[in-house]
Amino acid sequence: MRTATGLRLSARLAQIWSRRDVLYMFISRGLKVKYASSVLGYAWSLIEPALFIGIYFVVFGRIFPNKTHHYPLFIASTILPWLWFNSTVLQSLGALRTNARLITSIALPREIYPLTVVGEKFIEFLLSLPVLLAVAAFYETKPSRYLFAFPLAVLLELMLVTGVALFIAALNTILRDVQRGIGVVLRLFFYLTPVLYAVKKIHGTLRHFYELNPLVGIFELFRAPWFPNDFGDWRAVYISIIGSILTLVLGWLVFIRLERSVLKEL
Amino acid sequence: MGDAINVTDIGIKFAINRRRRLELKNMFVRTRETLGQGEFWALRNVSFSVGVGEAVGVIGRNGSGKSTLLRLIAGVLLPDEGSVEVHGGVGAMIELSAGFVGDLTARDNIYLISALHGFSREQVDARFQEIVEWAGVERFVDTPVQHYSSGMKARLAFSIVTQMEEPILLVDEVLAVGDAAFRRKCADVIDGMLAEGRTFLLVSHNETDLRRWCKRGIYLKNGAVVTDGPVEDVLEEYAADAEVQN
Repeated sequence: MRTATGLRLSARLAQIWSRRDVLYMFISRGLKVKYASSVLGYAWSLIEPALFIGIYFVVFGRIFPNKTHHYPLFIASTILPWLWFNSTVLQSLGALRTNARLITSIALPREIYPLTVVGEKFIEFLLSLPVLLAVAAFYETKPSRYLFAFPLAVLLELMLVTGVALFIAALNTILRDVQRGIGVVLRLFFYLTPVLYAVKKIHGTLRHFYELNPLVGIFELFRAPWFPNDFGDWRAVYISIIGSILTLVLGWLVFIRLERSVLKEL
Repeated sequence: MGDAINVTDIGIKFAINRRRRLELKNMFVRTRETLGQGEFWALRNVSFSVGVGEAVGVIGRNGSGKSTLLRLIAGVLLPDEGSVEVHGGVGAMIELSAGFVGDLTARDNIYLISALHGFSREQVDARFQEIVEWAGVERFVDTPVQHYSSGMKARLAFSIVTQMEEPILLVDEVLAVGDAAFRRKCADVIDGMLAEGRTFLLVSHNETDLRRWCKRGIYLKNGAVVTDGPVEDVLEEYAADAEVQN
C-alpha cells in the first residue's frame, strides 16, 4: 500500500534485501563498464593512489621539512581510505539523476542507486589495497598488534559513507547547489582529517573540537596497524562509532523524507 | 471477485516551473494539504477501484494527469494525499527502453532489464529464445544495442516486458511505437494477456485500442475524474467535450 506517509525503516530494509540481486548486478555492471572502457582498466585502481602518494610525499615529505619516519607508508595507510571516501561522495551526487529514466519507470527501492555507488567504490577501495601492502613491503614494515583496527575502520567508514551517499544523492537532486559546494567541503574535510599528519599534532582544547569529526577516529584506526606510536586516543574512536551510526541513520531518514520530492523532480 | 487496485482520494502536486528554487524549509517541514507558491494539483480527489480481471482505459487530453496516475499506481511516484493499494504484483510498461545500456550487447541487456522486472537468471534462460525470436533480432544478439535502430530497440523492449507474469498490467502509450506489423503483433500479445484474466489499465489516445480492449473508461480532466463508466459513453463524452473546446 502506497500512502502519503512513508514506510518504516525495517520494511524498507526488507524491500532492499528482496531486490539485492539488482544491487549486485548494478555494481558488477558499473565495474565492468569502468574497467572495460579504459585502456589501463584495473591498473588505474593501483596507479591513481600510487600517484597521490608520490605527490604528497614530494610536497609534504621533501619540499616542506618533515621528519616522519617512512612518510610514504604514513600517507599510504590513510590516502586509500580518503580516496574511497572522496570518490563515493563525488559519484553519489549523480546517483539518482543519472538514472532518472529508470527510476521513473521501474519501481525499485530508490536506495539501490546510491547503494550501487557505495558498493562500487568499496570494491575499488579493496582492489587498491595492494598499493598499501607494496609500500609496507618496501619499508619492510609488518603490521603491529593494532591490526584489528583495520576491519573496524573499514566497517565504520562503510557506514559513514553510506549515510553520506544517501543524503547527498537525494539532496543534490532537488538542490543543485550541492554539486557546486561539495568540492570545497571535501577539501576542508581533507585537511580536518589526519590524512597527511598525525592526530598528535593537534593540541589542547582544539583537539576536543577536532575529534568531533567522525573521520578522525576512523583514520586513526587506519593508521594504527602501521604506526602504533602515533595512535592518539580511544575517545576519537568512540565518537567515530557513534558518528558513523548516526550519519547512516540520519542520511537514510533524510533520503526517505526527500524521496517524494525527488521522484517529482526526476 | 475482489479489487486489484484501490485508489482513494489521491492527490499529487507539482511545481509549475520545475526549475524552481527550493526553500530548504519546505523540503523538511511538510505542507502537504496546501499549495506552495507556483504549485498546482496534477491530480486531486481521485478515487476509483479496478476489479480483478477488469480492463480499464484512461482517457484525457495531454496534461490531464493520465500518466501521473499510472506512475502513482506503478509506485514510481508517491502521492501527497490519499492512498494507492494494489493487490498483487504490478507490471508497468512505461518508457520501455529505460534501462537499456548502449555499450552492452542485446544478450546482456535482456538479462539486465529482465532482472529489473524481477526475473531470476534461470527464468530468463528459459525465455531467452522466445524473447529474441519475437523481437526478430536473432542475428544481432551479440551486437551492442547502441547500434540498434529505434524500431529494433522497441521490439526488443516490448518482447522482454511481455514476459512479465504480474497479474496487474499498466500500459502507457507504449503501443504507439513501431510499424503496422509490429503493432499487430503487440495487439495479439495484449489479447492473450487479457484472455488470461489479468487486470489491465491502459493509457491511450487511440480510440480503436481503447474500444478493442477496455470495457470501462475513466475520463480525466485537469486532474479530476469527469466520467467513469462504459468505454463507449466515456469516449463519447470526451469527444463532445473536445468539440465544445474547439
